[in-house]
Amino acid sequence: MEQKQPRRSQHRESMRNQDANIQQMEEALLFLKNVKGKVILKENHTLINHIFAVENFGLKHGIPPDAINVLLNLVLSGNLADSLNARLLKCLIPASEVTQSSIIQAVSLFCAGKCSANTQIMFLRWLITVFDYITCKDILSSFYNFFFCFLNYDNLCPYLCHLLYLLTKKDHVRPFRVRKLMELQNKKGLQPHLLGLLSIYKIFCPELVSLTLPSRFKSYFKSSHFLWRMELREIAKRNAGNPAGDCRIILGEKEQILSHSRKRKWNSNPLPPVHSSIWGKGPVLADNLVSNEQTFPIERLQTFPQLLDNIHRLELPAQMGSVLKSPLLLHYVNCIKDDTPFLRLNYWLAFTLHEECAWYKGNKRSKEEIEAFLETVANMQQFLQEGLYSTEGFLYKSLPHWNGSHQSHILDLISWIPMSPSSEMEELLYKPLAQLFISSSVYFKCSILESLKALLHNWLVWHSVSVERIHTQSTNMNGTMSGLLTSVKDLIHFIGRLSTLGLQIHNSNLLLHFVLDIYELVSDMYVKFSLPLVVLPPPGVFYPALLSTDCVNLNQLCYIMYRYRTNLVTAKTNERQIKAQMHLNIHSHTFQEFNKYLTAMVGCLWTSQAFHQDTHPQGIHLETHLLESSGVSTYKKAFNIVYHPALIGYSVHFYHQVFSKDKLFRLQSIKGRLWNKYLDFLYSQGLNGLKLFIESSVNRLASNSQQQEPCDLLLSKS
Amino acid sequence: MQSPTNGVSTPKDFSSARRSIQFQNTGFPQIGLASARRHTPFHHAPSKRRIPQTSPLSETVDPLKIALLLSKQWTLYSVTPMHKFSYTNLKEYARLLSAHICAEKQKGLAVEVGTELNVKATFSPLPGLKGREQDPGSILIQVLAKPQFSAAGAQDRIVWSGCFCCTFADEDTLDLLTSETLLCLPLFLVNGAEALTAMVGTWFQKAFDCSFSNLPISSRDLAWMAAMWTGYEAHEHITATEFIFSVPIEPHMDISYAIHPEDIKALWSNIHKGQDEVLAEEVDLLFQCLYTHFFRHFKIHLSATHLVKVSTSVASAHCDGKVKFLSKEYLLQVLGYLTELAINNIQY
Repeated sequence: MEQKQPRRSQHRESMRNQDANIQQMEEALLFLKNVKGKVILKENHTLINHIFAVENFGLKHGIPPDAINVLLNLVLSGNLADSLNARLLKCLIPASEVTQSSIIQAVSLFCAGKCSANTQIMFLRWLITVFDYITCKDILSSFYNFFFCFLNYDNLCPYLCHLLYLLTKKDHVRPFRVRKLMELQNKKGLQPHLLGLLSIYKIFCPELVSLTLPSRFKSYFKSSHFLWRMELREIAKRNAGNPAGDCRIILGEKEQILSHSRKRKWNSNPLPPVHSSIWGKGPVLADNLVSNEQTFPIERLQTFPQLLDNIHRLELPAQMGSVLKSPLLLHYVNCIKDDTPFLRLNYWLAFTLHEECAWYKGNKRSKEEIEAFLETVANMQQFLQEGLYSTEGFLYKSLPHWNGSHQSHILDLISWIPMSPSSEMEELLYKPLAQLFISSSVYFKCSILESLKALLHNWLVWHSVSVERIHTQSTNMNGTMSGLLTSVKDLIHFIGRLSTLGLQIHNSNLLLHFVLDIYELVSDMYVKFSLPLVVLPPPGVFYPALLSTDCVNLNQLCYIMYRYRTNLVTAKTNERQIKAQMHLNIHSHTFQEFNKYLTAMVGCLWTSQAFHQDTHPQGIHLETHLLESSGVSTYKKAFNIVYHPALIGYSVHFYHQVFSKDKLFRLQSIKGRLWNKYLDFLYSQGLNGLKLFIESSVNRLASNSQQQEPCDLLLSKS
Repeated sequence: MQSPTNGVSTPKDFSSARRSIQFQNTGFPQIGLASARRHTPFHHAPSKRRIPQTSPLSETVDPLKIALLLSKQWTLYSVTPMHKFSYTNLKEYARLLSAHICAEKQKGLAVEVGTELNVKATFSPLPGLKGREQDPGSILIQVLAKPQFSAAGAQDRIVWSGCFCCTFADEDTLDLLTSETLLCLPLFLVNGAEALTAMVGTWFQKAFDCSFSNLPISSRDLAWMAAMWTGYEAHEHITATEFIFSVPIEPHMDISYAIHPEDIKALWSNIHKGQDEVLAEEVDLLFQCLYTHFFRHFKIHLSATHLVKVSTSVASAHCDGKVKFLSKEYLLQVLGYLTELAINNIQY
C-alpha cells in the first residue's frame, strides 16, 4: 500500500500536467491565430511563452491537424522573426495527419514568397519529412509545376529536387522539363540532387533522357529530413500506443539496429521478418493446393488464443530465422515433432552466428549489432529453457579465440550448453575456459563461475524433468543414468578445480562468495533435484572458506555443510527404506570426507581443537610443538566462535555490550552462561547458516553449558 | 585439429552418425529442440581420400551445357540444405526469380537505371552432372538480358550464371544433413556480377530458407588438389603446373613456381603408390620434394609461405574460393572435392 500511494499520486500529477499542457496549447493557438501583421520578438514575453507551449506540446504529443493549419499559416506569412519560424516548424510534428486544406494554403503562401528563403527551405524540408502524413497527395502533385518553377532559386533547388523526386509520376516527365533540368545541370555542373531527379525521369521515360548517369552516386539527396526523423518516429510510436496488447512481447529488448548503408548486401538483415512461405500463395505445389484454404496466415498470428485456435492449420514461416523474436512461434515450434523445422532453424542460426557474429574472423558487423543478435539468441534459449546445438557449436569454435568480447552474452550462451558426454565437454569447453579463467581478472573469474553455476542449474533441471519422464515410462534407470551422472560430476569437479585455482591466485572474499554460491546448489542436488549424487567441495575451497575473514562466507559455508548433512542423512534413510530402487552413487568415501570436514569445522568453531583434531590430509592439523612455538599461550582455547577472524568483530561488539567500559578487556570471559548469550547474539545478527549448522551438528547438553564437548553426528558408512 | 592416428578414412569421420541414437543409450535427456540431430562441431582432416571413378561425362550431359561450365572463373559458395526445393517446379521458379530480379532492379536502388531491365532467369536441370547414382542432380541457373537497342530476334546475352551441384557426396553425411523436405546441393558456383548474385541469393534465402556463405579453400586443400589433379591423365590443353605462394612480408610478395607437367607427373608417380586412394603422407612428400628443390636453387623455404593458388591442366583454384575448370574429363572429380569442402563448410 505504501508503495502504491506515491505511484497513484504520480499518475494524477502527470494527468494534471497534461491538462495544463492542453490548456496552454489552446491559449497559444488562440493567440497565434490572431497574429496579424509583423510581430517584434524583442521583450515580447507573451509570444515567447506561447511558442514555448507549442514546442512543448508538439514534441510531446504531436500537433493535431487543425493546429497545423494555423501554425503553417503563421510561419509562412512571414509575420514572425525567422528564428521563431524555424522553432515552430521544428516542433510541427503531425499527431495524425496533414490535411488537404493545410497543404493548399501553405503552398500558396510559399509561392507568394512572403517569408524569407530560410523559412521556405525549412518548409520544404518539413514537407519532405511529413510526406507520408499528407492525406491527399494528389493535391501536392497538382502543384508540381509550381514547385518546378522554383528550381531556378539556387538555395531551394536541392530540397525541391528531393520533393519533386517524391512527387514525380510518369506524366510529369515532359520534354520541356527535361530540357530545363539539363540546362540547370549544364549551368551548375554535376549536382547529386539534379541527377537524382533526372534518374527518376529516366526510369519513367528513358527515351527522353539521353544522359548517362554516373554510377558512383549512392544517395542523391542529402538527408533533408534529419531534423525531424527521430521525433516523428517517437511520436508516431507513442500515439500508436501499444499496438497489440499483451502478446506482442518482443524477445530482444533492443530494436535491431539496421545498417543504414544503401549498398545492397547479402543477408543485410540478420533477423528475417515473419512471412508465410511464398509457395503458399500461388498455385505452385500441387500438394499444397488442397490445404491452402485452411491454413492460417502466420503474419496474422498475434495472440496466444489465436495460436491455440489455429495450431492445427498453421504453416511454418518461409524463413525459420523469423521465429527467433516471436514467442508465439517459439511456442509453436516447441510442440512440433518433425525434425525438419529444427534442422532449418539450426542451419540458419549456425550460419548467422558463424558468418555474422564470429568476431575473430574479422568484423563484418558493428559491436552493437552483434550484441543485439546474441542477446536475442540468449533470450530465445531462455524462453525455450534449452540450448540449441548450433549455439553450442558456435561456442566451441569461438571459445579458443575468445578475448572476452561480448562477455555477458557469451557467458549467457554458455549457461545453456546442452549436456553431453564428459570427454567432449572436457575437450571443447573445459579446456579453453580454464585457460581463460586462469589468465583473467578476479571479476571475470566471478562471471565465469556464475555462468557455470547457471549451466549446472540448467542441467539439474533437465535431469529432474527427464527423471519424471523415465519414471512414467518405467524404463531401466541404472543404465540410463550413468552417463548423465558422470557428466554432472565432471562439471562439478571442473568447477572445483577452477575454484581452487582462483582462490589460490586471488585470495579474494568476493571470489569465495561466488564459489560458495555454487556449492550451495551442489550441496542440495539430492534433495532438490533428486539426483543420486553428493559431491563435496575440494579442500582448496573448504579450508579457505572455513578460515575466511569474512563472516558472510563463513555463514554460507555453515549453511552449505548443514545442507550436505541433510542430503546425506536423507540419502541414507532412503537407502535403508526403499532398498535401492534407485541405486545410490554416493560412495562411502564421501561420508568419510564429510566427517573429516565436519570435525575440522566443529573444532574450529566450537571446541578450539581444530589444529589437533583435523584429520584431513590437506587440512590444518598442526603439531603441538609448532603451536607452542607460535607464542600464543592459550592456544588450546584460542580458536572458536569467539576468536575466529570472521567473528571477532562480533565478539568484541558483544563484549562491550555486556561489560562496562572500565572492565579489563578479556574476551576469555565469554564462556559459560555468556557463551549462550553470545550465541543468541550471533543468531540475532543474521548468521542463520551458523545457527542451522550448530543446531544440527553440535549436540549440546542443554542444561550444562560448561560442557562444550561436541557430540557430532558422525555418519559413517557401516 | 589433428588427424586421427589410426588413419581411418572416408568423410564419414567428420560427422558421427545420428547423435540422438547415441543419446538414447547413454541416457542424456532429449527434450525439445535439442533432440534434433546434431553433429560434432569439429571434423578431422582425413588422412586419405579416394580417387573417384566415373564414366565419361559426355554420355550423360549435353556437351553444350558442359561447355558452359568450362574455362570460366567460378566463385564458390556453400549452401545449407534447401527446404521444399522440387525438380518439377523449375519453370515456376524461373518465372518467380525473373520477377524478383526485375522488381529489385526497379526499386531505384540499383545503380544502372534503365539498362538491362529485360532480364529473364532460366533454370535447367543437369541430371547427368553427378558422381554417383544417388547424388541429387545439379541445377544450372542463367540470367539472360536483352541488349538495349538490339535488333528483334537477337540472342539474349548471358549476364550471370550459377550452378548448384553435389557430386560424390558421402551418403551417410547427406542423410544426416537432410530430411524428407530438405534437399542438399551444397556447392554453388557463380559467374557474373555480384549484384545479381546477391539478388539470386536473397531470393533463394526467402524461397527455400537456405543460407549462402563464401567457400575459401585452405592451403592444405590446395595442396591436396594439386596432388590429386596431377594424378589425372589430361588429354587436352596440357599446361604447366603452377603454384603461387604468398610470402608473409610487407610489402606483399608472391612467388610463382611453375613446373613442366611431365616432370611433376614423374615425381608424383614415384611418390604415389595406391590405385584408388591418395594418402596424406604422399601429399606431404610431394610438397616436401618441391620445397627442397626450390631451396636448393633459391635458398628460400617455401614451407614458411602460404600456398594461395594452384593451376594444372585439370583445373585451377585460388584460396579465395575461385575455381576454373579446364578439363571436361575430370570435371566431376574436381566438383567432388569441392562438394566435400562445401559439405564441411555447412556443418558449422
